[in-house]
Amino acid sequence: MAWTSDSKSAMYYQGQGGASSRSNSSNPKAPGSTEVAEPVANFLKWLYHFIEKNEIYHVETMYEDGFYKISEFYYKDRPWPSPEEVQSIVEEKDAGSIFMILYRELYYRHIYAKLKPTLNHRFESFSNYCELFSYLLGADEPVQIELPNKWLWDIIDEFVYQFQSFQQFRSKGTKMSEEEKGMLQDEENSWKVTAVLNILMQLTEKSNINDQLRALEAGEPITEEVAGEFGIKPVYSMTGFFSLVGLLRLYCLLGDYHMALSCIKHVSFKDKDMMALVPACQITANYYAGFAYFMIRKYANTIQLYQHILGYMQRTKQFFQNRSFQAEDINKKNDQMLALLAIANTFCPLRLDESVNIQIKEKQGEKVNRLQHDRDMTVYDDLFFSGCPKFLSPVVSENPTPFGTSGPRGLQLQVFKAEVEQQRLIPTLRSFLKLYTSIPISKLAKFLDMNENEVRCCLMAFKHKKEIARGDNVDQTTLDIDFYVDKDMIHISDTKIARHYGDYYVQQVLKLKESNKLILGSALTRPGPQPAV
Amino acid sequence: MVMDALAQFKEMQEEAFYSMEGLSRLNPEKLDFYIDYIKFQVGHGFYDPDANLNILKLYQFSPELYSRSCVGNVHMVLVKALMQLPNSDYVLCRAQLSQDMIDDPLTKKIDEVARLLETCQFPEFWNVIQEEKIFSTTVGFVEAVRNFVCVVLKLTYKNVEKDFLMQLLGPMTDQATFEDLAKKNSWVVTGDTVFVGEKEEMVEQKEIVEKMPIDVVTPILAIR
Repeated sequence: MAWTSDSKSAMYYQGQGGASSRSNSSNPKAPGSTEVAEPVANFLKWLYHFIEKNEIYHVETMYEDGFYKISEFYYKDRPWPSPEEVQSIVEEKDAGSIFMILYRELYYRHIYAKLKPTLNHRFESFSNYCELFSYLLGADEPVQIELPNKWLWDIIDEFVYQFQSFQQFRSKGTKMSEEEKGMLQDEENSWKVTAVLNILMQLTEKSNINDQLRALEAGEPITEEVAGEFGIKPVYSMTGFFSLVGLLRLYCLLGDYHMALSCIKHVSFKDKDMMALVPACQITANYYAGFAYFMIRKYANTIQLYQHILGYMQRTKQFFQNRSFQAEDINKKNDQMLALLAIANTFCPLRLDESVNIQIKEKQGEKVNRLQHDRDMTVYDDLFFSGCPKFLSPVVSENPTPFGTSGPRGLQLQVFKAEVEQQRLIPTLRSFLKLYTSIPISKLAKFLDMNENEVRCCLMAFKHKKEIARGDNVDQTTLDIDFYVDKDMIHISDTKIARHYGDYYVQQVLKLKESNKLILGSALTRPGPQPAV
Repeated sequence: MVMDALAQFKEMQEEAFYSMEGLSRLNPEKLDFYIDYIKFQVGHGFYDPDANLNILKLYQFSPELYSRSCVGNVHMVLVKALMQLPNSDYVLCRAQLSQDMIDDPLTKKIDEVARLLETCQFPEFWNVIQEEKIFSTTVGFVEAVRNFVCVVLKLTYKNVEKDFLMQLLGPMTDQATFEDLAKKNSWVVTGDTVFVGEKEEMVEQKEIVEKMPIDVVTPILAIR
């Protein structure tokens, strides 16, 4: 049975009804019937075959394309066939084989994405994850199976997501039924935060991923000595790396920015490294790393990361539109980053790329105006809520108030508000200083309606905040003023930015070239005299 | 006597390091050790950020360990973190507190002190810390804040009036403390002015010229 990429489409839509007909009437096995449609059965059999044979390239195509397409067509609002059914379709004797575990992961993932998972689904999914991870971690020798990177990332990402979903469910508190409360008590080990953390930590340790990253940083090759017997195999090293990102995310959700940043200590956010293998991973990692820097007020780092990733997302937009589970999530992250970037830029004016500036104006323009011109402080709250992740608390209390001031989100908001309060006088100071090259403190005090000592403190605060915002190892051009104080005189500088027209110029030239091609192309295909080329 | 304290600190530091490997950092039975450790740090002027943050983490993950009477431990963590300014230790700790801890009056006081420091209102700061014992009983607190003041001074001033400088540095027991500080920071005292450092290059007119990397320009240079 030869498998080529043309036969692939034929395989999917074979059976009654023909190749691309999607009408219900002609296809008796269309959505609505409880039997498993033949294309679906074929898909499952092929998937099983390729996973058994470790044909990673084909597994990847089936996973990225096939699964998504079949879900959209056959299972838009109902679950995939039950694991028991699938087991008989692919003639798998062992219900605990790796294929079955992987299938169950997909089955529950689909339920979480398209339907509402019941409490039983949640518990079952958790046990399935435990089985999957003990398959990897409990082995004496590295496992033979190979899986595409995207699939490995999706597993880790979904694992953290389902934990998040579970905590949010538990925060319903009094809205839960008695039956649900009883079930939770019975299965108290399901989705425990320590279990989730433990799994992620063990995956990173098994693969020695930190040692590998350290070696990469130092420019050394990754040998078995560095990576260990397990880490040298891609399935372990990639899972280990993705678990690092998973931990970064989890720590941010718990408000522990110290541990979050320690996870990515050795990760470089450059384009050519491990993260870039899976775009969704890159976006998630940049978002959470930038958020951690944001909360500890190192805005230059946030701006550097977000600018870079937003530019990348703009350029690769068309690839995400129709694929994968995460298309919606990626758009959301885009908007979140823009909101946080808008805040960070008011605290730390740096030169932003034109494309990013345009996006901010589009999505958050009105709010930014209110910030800068009306000095409306409530806008900070709005932007923060738009941009922040869904914080969690590790242990859900008896009477949780997830959205109250003392819930996880409220607590982080308090930390952020403290910073807003500390920065309150700085924009006004900045706008006055911008007007002068030198100004005596007494004059500035009159403008600001403060006494001289207060002004002196304010000037120091400006410098202090600016120095913190500069962050670690950031190489960015600042748009901010700089000054020093000589007894009672302030001397101010201003950085002049020459007009950057280069980018725009190149864009327009390329557009013109494209238009020319189009015109010439259509002229060539029309009948009549050919233009001299 | 000093050597003994250092040796003891190093021992505790090592024990803390090993007990925080992986998930074992969440082991609630070790909480008493971490508390003794921070008491030692407070009394002798040492600092271990990881272990101190871990106390807050244990309270977060095992809320049953926390009760009103434990809030003193939280205060110690916060004050030790404040001493690290301009580093972000205080913010990291603050992000791990529960509402219960935040509502405590002394926590609110410490938060207010943090705000005064972050907005560089040093003269007010020296007044406010007189009101609470914790700032005087934490060894090295005053020196640490003075260091922070010197860092900010260095960023801001070329010449500063001595009177104002003394207000910023807070009450000092004798002249020698000031002279040591001046020596350490290479200040030059002339009469009522103190020269902190040259600052001219900070205010030079900078013009940022656009740089175009070659790979951006190649598409338009390519000739058919």
